[in-house]
This record gives sequence, C-alpha cells and structure tokens, in this order.
Amino acid sequence: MSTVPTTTNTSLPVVAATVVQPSKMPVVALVGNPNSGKTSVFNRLTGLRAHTANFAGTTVEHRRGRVPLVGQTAELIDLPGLYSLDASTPDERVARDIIAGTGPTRPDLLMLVVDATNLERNLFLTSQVLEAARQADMATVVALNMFDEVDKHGVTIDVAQLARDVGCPVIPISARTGQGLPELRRSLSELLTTPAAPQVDTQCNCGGCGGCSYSQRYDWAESVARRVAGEPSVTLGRTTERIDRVLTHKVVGLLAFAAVMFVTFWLIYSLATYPMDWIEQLTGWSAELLGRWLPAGDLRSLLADGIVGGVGGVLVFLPQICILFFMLALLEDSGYLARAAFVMDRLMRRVGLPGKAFVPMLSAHACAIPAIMATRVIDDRRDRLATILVLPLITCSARVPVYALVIALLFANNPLMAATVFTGAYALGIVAALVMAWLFKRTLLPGETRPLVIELPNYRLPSLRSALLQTIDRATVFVKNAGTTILLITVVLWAAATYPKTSVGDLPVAAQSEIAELQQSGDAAAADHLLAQYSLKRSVAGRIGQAIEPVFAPLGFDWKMSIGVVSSFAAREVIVSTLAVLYGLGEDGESDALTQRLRTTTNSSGGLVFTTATCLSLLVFYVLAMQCLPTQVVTKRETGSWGWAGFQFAYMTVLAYVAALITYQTASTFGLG
Amino acid sequence: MSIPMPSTVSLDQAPAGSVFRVERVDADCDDAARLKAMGVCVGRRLSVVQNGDPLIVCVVGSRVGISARLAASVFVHVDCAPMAKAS
Repeated sequence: MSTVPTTTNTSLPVVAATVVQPSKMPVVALVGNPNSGKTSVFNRLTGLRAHTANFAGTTVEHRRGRVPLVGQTAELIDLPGLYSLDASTPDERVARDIIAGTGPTRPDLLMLVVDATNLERNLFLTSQVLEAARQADMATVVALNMFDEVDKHGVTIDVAQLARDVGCPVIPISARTGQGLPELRRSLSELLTTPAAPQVDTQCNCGGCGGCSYSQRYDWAESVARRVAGEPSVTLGRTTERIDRVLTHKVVGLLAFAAVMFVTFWLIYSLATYPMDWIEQLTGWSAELLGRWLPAGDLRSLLADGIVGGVGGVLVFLPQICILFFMLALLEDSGYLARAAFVMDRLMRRVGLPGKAFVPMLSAHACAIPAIMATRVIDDRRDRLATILVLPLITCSARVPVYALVIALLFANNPLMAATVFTGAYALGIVAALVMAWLFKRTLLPGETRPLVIELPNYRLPSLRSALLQTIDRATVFVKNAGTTILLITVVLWAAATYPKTSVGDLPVAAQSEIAELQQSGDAAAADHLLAQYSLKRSVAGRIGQAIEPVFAPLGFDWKMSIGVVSSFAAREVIVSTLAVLYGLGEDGESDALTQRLRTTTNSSGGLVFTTATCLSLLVFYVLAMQCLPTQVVTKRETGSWGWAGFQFAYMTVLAYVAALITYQTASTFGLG
Repeated sequence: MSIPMPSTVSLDQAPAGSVFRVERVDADCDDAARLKAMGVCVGRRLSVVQNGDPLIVCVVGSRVGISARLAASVFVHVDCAPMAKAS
C-alpha cells in the first residue's frame, strides 16, 4: 500500500517534501468521534514530535507528527472529529474525503479510535468508516480507548468478538495510562507491512434511502454493542448525571459557568504577570545589548527599536495566551465546554448567536486571534461569520496598556472611579459585540440561528500532559506568527516612523537652538528625546498623522494623538510608546513620567490637551477600533476572503469614530472639555 | 413490553424520565441530518433526562443537549413509562 500514486502525492504540503522523501514514510490517519479521546491517543503516540498544519488547499487545520513503530516510523495525522461521514462542516468534509481515499492526502492505514465506554455511539461511525475503508481498499485498525474505565464499571468487553464483528484488529488501550500502546504500535507496524482492508458487512447497503440506512446502522451498532459488552453499565453515567444536575441547571449552571470564567481570567491575569515581566526585561535587555554592540545608525535602530521592540511587544502576550489555551484544553478534555455551550445557548440566541459562540467570546478577552480560530466549532456558516466579525470588539489584553494609560490620566487618585471606568470599558466591548452580532444577524447575515444539538460527554479527569502538549503546539503557532507576519508589519511601521531621516540641521532654527541649549546644560538625554520627537513628526507616519488631524479633531485628538492612531494601526498598544516619543520621553519613557507629562501638556492656546472629554473619547475609540493587523490576517484566513477582513476593519473604525465623536461632544457639552 | 396507548407528542413536551421512540422528524434538511448523526432518527429509542430549553435526552448511550425549538419538530411516542426504567 506504500506505493501511493504520484498524482495524489503532488497535493501534499511542500514542507514534507523538503525533509525525507515523503512517500517513504507511511501515513496513518486517526479517525473517531469528537469525544473518543482521539487527541489524547495522538498525544500519547507522538509526544513532542507533532505540529499543527493545514491540509493542502484548505483552511482545515490538523495536527501531524511522527510515531516510532517497530522497525519503522510512520506519520500520524489527526483528522477532525466526526459523528458520521455525512459531513456538514468543511472540517468534516476533509475528514470524509481522506477516509474515502479522495482527500488531499491518502493514508496507508486508518486508525479508528473507539470510546469503549460509549460503544454503541462510536460503532455507528465505525460502520461507515469500515465500509468506506473497504471500498477504498485501506487497511484499518480499531483502538478501543478508555478500556480501563470500562473495567472499573464492571463491564467486560469481548474484544475477540468485536474484532470478528468489525473485520479488523481491535486493540484495547488507555490513552490516559498508556496501557495497550506497545500492542497498538506492533499492530500498526504489522498492518503497514501487510495491509489488509477490513472484511465486514455491516448490512447497511440499503441504496438511496438515507433515513433507512441510518436506522439500519444504528441497529447494527446496537446489536454489536450488546453482543460484545452485554447490557449497558448502570453506574457508568451516574457521576456525570449527578454533576450535570448542577452544571446544566437553568440558574445554578450559569452561576457555575461564571465562576469557571472568573477563575480562568484570574489565572490569566495573575499568573501571567511574572513571565510577562521576564519577557519585558529580556526584550529591554536585548535592545540594550544590541545598542552596545552595534554602532549607532539605522541598523541598530531597526534591530533594537523595530524588531526587538515590536516582536517583543507581541510576545509579551504569550504567557496569557498559553494559560488560556491550557485552561481551554483542560475544560474541553473534562467535558465541561459542552456544558458551557449548553447553558449559554438560550442567552446567546437572543442576539442571534449559538451557545457555541460563547467560548470564542471568552477567549477573545485574552486575544482575538485564538478566539477567531476557536469559532470552528460553530456549525452554521452565517453564525460563525457573525461571531468572527464581532470578536475583535471584545477587550483583549493588548488594550489593557491603553486603558491603563488613559485611566491613569483621568483618575490617578481615585481608585474607585478608575475601577469603574476600567469595568465600563470592558462592558462597552461586550455590549458592542452583542449588539453588532444582533444587527448582523438581522441585516447582513439573515437567518435563524442553528438550533443546538450537542453531545454532553461523560465527565473525565482531564489529562495535564495532553493539555500541556496542545498548549506548546498552539504557542509554537503563535510564535511563528510573531516571527513572520508580525515581524514584517513591525519593520514596515519602523520604516514609516523613521524615514525620511531627520538630523539637527534639518530642523527650524528655533528647534535647533532648543536642542543646543539642552546639550549645553549637560542634559544629553533630553536633547536626544527632543530630536526623536521632531524626527517622528517629520517621518512618513508623522506626516500622515498631521495630514489626518482634521479628521480626528472632532474627537478631541491633536496631531500627536492622530500619529498615535496611525502608528498603532497594526497593533493598538503601540500608541503608548508613540505618545512617549512624541511627548519627548523617548521610547521607554517611564509610565509615571509619561502620565505626568501628558497631564500637564497644553495646546497653543494654553488649554489642556488631555481633558476629561479627550481622554474618554480616546478610551472609547480604542475599545471599539480594529487596530490589529494580525487579527485581520486571521480573519482573512478563516473566512477565506480579504473582503470580510476589510469589512471588519471598516465597520469597526466607523463604529469607533462615531462612538468617540458622540462621547467627546457630549462630554464637552457637559463642561468636561 | 406493553405499550400504553402510543400517543404522539413533540419531544419538547415529552416528560422527563420516560423512554420514547421517535416517530417522525419534521426539521429542515440540515438540522435533521445533525439530529440523525446524534442518533435522533425515526425508529430510535431515547429517554428524556431533563426538560427545559435546551433539554437533555439520552440516546445511543450518551447524553445530548437539544434546543427546545428543534425538539419541537421531533415527534415521539411513549415506549416505556417512568416506572419501568428503574428495574
């Protein structure tokens, strides 16, 4: 079976071709129900030798990795989970095609993961897969997962009988304990050496009648399950039933969900502080080191300010993202996430979104990028699109530095008001997201929300190992993204803020003498900062900022803030460092010093620049504006078109502008200007 | 297995604790397919675990949450009264 036709091999990802000859390494595809523990089996077999990839020509993500077998190594690919082969989502379609041998990659062997504690349901998919495998002449092995659980509940499964019924080898395993994995490896090796398609007739060949074939398949699944495992265990679902009485309760369930959310965010914001500090220190230290090693000039500025500063500014959010992914992996593995979608469904439907949209909304509080990726669980295309469009309105952690700056300006000595405004900014983001979702579902993406149908799997103790591996994998993707797309954006922005270059001689006479005076008084740092301030003003970014100042003037922004808006177009948190440069404090201006400087800055007519009205307007603008190019790249990837990414940018910018305008004008009217 | 007068009710009206057999599914194509993939299709037995919106049924050995709006398009008749369940 290793003699794969070369025509199908051409569509394999190019990366594989660069390493070893890809046709030499046999491919094993992992198939199974969504809650069969497929991911844990994958993690057990591949460990750290796995990475996330896309199937060629699709946006469907999957994990692949190498598995050492007896005398050979195979590549394992984790197909998206399925309940049946009658696929409805793009992920399911790719999985179905691969199983049928017509997908973007043709496996040599199918490994079907079957949850031994949920035999009847898993056997339904099994019957479909076995038939598809037989038709495509593909060898198949069944990994009977969670076998240890079955024992605990006093059920005995006749493995030999099951193997006869499904017409292929059945290996009892436990991904949690590692039991049965050597046998599984051996069986994989044998089947790869002497492949044999399953020999079975599931008696479901009932022609074109869909309903009838479903019913026959379920009958087959039921009869096989009864034959090999006897009557279903009475104790198996009992704990789940007890827990669910609380967690799916109309009121208590919501409170429990709120508590879970609170703990997750508390962890994200408290635990992440330490590694975030380390990353910041490391960034500062590297920039300083570069500054010492390299001669002053464009290269040093590009490396130290542009690349290290820019990429470091994004990497600083890595700890939060890791904690988020880790928590989500644990919650999913435990079976709780299905309950979260269940209890939120009724509330979310009021704004036209399904309950499954809530977990992405939760993730968006850390970062919109993983949140947009998490919308893949939403069945309906319009529901998913509406969710993607509104996710960036939710306050992500990159907005926090901006909120902190503005709130420090407004209420430095009033913690109560500061906390209120902070909460208000978060609430504004959530309300805006819900209102816009409601609006989109009524206008642009009309249609009823797909009603909820969700399996509530038995609760399980989640596997820390598995969650950790998934987190590492996600983090790698994020770091790669920071190393490519974000790096490019950083360099472009650095260039826009640096060129054309300004030397002291280019400045007007008054400015020259100002700098000379500072130098004479021995304050070289202040002189440098002043030159940096003039340089930025004369750079491309500075000129754009000044040109568009009239546009932002009705919001109470001066030209410096307009430059800030332009320079933070790709990453919102950049406005803080831009303002630091523009107000003559240098890139790493102490935050207290910056606040002090901003608070006392006056305009040409002697009035304060950062009045309460301006601050509130700036805050509202940054709550609602897009200002994040990496998110846009992900929106494009997930929706398949720049059109939606462009629309997202346009509507959010208009919304932010109008809301900031109303805020500023209203506040000014009430004498806060 | 005595069947007490197979009166048809929609799933959202079916009382918790009883076992039912699915008689017909009036949902649109996509939704019917999603229900079928979960085991809610004509001729299958299911039990209602919890009423409400969404409600919980036990079908093909696992618990499935279904929105009441969709459950209203699934018609079932009693297969087994509540008492018989706890044998």
